[in-house]
Amino acid sequence: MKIALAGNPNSGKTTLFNAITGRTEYVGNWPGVTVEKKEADLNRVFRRIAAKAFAEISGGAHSSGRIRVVDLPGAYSISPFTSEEAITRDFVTGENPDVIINIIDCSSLERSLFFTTQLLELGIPLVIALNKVDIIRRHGDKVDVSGLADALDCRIIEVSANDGEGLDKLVAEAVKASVQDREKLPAAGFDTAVAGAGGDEDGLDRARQAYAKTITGKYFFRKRSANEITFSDKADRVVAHPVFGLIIFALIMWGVYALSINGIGGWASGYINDVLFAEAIPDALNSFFESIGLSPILQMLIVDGAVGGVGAVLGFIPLIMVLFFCLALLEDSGYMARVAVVMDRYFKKIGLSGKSIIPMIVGTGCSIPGVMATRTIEDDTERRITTILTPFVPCGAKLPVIALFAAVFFPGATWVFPSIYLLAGLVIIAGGLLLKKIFRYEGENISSFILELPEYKLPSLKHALRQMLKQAIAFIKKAATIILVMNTLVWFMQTYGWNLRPVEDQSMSILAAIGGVAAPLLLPLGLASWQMASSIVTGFIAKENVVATLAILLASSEDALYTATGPLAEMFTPVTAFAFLAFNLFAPPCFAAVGAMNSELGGRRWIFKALLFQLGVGYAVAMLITQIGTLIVYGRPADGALASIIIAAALVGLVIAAIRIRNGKTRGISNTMREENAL
Amino acid sequence: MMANIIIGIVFFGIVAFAAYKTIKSMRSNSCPGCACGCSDEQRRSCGC
Amino acid sequence: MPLSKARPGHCGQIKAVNGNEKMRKFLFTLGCSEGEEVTLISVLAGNYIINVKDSRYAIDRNIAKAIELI
Repeated sequence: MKIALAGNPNSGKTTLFNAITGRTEYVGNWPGVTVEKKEADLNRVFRRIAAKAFAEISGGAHSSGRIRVVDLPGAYSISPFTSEEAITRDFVTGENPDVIINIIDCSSLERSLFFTTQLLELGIPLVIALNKVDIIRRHGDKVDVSGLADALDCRIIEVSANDGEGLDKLVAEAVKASVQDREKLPAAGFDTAVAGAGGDEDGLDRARQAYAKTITGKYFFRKRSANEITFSDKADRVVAHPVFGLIIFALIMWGVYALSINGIGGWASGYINDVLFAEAIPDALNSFFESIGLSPILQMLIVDGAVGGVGAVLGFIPLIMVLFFCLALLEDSGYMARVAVVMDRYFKKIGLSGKSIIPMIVGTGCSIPGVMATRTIEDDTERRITTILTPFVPCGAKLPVIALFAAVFFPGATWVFPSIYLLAGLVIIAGGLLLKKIFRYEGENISSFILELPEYKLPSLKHALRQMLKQAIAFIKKAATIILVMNTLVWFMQTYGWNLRPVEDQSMSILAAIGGVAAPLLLPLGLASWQMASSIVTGFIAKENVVATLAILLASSEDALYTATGPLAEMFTPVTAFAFLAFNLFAPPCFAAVGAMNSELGGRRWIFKALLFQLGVGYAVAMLITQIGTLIVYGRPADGALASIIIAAALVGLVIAAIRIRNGKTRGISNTMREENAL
Repeated sequence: MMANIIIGIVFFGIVAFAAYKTIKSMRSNSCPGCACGCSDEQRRSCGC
Repeated sequence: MPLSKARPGHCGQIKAVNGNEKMRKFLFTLGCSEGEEVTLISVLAGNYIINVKDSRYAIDRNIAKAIELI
């Protein structure tokens, strides 16, 4: 049996889905978070309720079998506006679910009923879940549920997906409806309303709107007018102010990162790094292995390679957990939609709109869902530009790298993270401007911005805790699989030479030879060592690998990796350390994110352009930081100054050529248009 | 010698399993753990 | 009068929605169409915050210009 969840954006479909299946899909209090359909089985509690309901109606003759729940992206109407809305339509019309649960946010009942009337016509049993009843109750509004149910001739259950109220009843009714309502016809009142409107689709839709209006007027009792200025509106005046809004956003993000990196998260990470993975665990393992007489090579592989590398990454778990906890709270509060409103005017200047900020906010967790969230953008060029720019936002996996370098080179400084974000912001704006020049035809109109503003709400601690736990588990899984494998490889490659014998000197190893090929290319960036080059390369598999690889390569050092006097301090100056961070941030993301970009951009030509652009930006920014930074801070030109001037000139030339080609094409197009007009 | 064999088998067993998981998810362009909002198809092919 | 010229607090009926077909259709599904009531709550950061059918939306100036009030 299949239950489909359908409804308007931000009506709480995913919250309901998580509640009845026990999954922890990403939820945010703004429209358009779910861009793909998600499937899962009912969890144990609801499975029992469903089985009971099924036994009641069938007299215990059959069992309900496996019950799948499908969470669909939000839609305002069955005719799609964006590609993710099309998923919803294709599913409900094409895959014949046994029952649809139509989730309605009852504070916007009239708008939601338009979609409901379309769903009712499909002839699939429908149960309405009237969600967020707790909110309208607080406002003093009321819905005449039985009256509404009679008018629509379908089952309506009042629920609050957030605290689980009414969900047991909802599942039971959905099961009953799937059997009993199968042959039912749409409500009589609705039939006549629509039939009277004549045949064409616009007419039908107008009749649906009118019908929704009538029955809302009849069965919904509002205590005060929705036009009244509410607390949300008053808060918005400050929060979405063009100037204060930006300052507030900066302060909030600074606070979040201060708390996770310098606050509790950083403190706990420091403890785990210092005590657990630097001393306690390796010491215990070493003495255990020595006592059983393990071969020194195997001992080194396990202790320095596997445990050392994975441990260097795992130490950052508390930091990641605090960060995701704070982000979940922020997202749940409804604040992020306001950020999109504030950013809209700035993004318009670079040919994007406020819609583009949502993928970037999602991208603070991980670039992959960020890149996927670009689907809510209708305009093709705008969507592609956003897809290319989204990985510039520092994701969760890049945090350990930044945190490590901040601890070594700028101990105690709270400005490192904010400055990285500021840099990311500036590069996104500059990059957007460039891409606009390269990809956009002159005079092409910029897509319009429209976003529903959810009411502010007190974020749910339970939800934030669950998100935090989910991220922590995923992080551990990642460390135990992809990072462990890469670490083992890296350890072998840095221990053995081409003759497959252990080398005396690390610089004779396979890894040194491979890294050494790439190193000269990084000279203008001040990063010309094979260790840095190889950590950058492993970073493309997963960004945490940068930390893990450096930990393995520098394991022989006396001092721990993350101390200010440690081995890292000998490899970098603070300036080149910052350049290294910048290169890791802007150079192409990990392969998984590249895969996501590939499927969103559609076409090999585009992914090639995108990767070239990202590599160019990463290289140019890191080079500028090293060259200019060294000149200013140390008063001398950095190594490779001459080469960097040539490269910079070449990059500028390349960009100008790309813009020329685009303009030539545009002119070509307008010429042909003129010719056509002349004909 | 026994210790070497046992520890070796255990360790490389773990690494082989990790590699299996990694390759499985790499093929569907996702990372193991799937916290990154993988699609259902990705999730099915990497088995988490 | 286009919505973009209204003062915050103004509540009026929609005379017509101009602009491209796709946007018009989308606005229609939100209930933002001919004959419906719309209230301009405020203008924030260049965006118009409107109330249509009990929901708040932020729309940009281009859309606000396309909504013609009586």
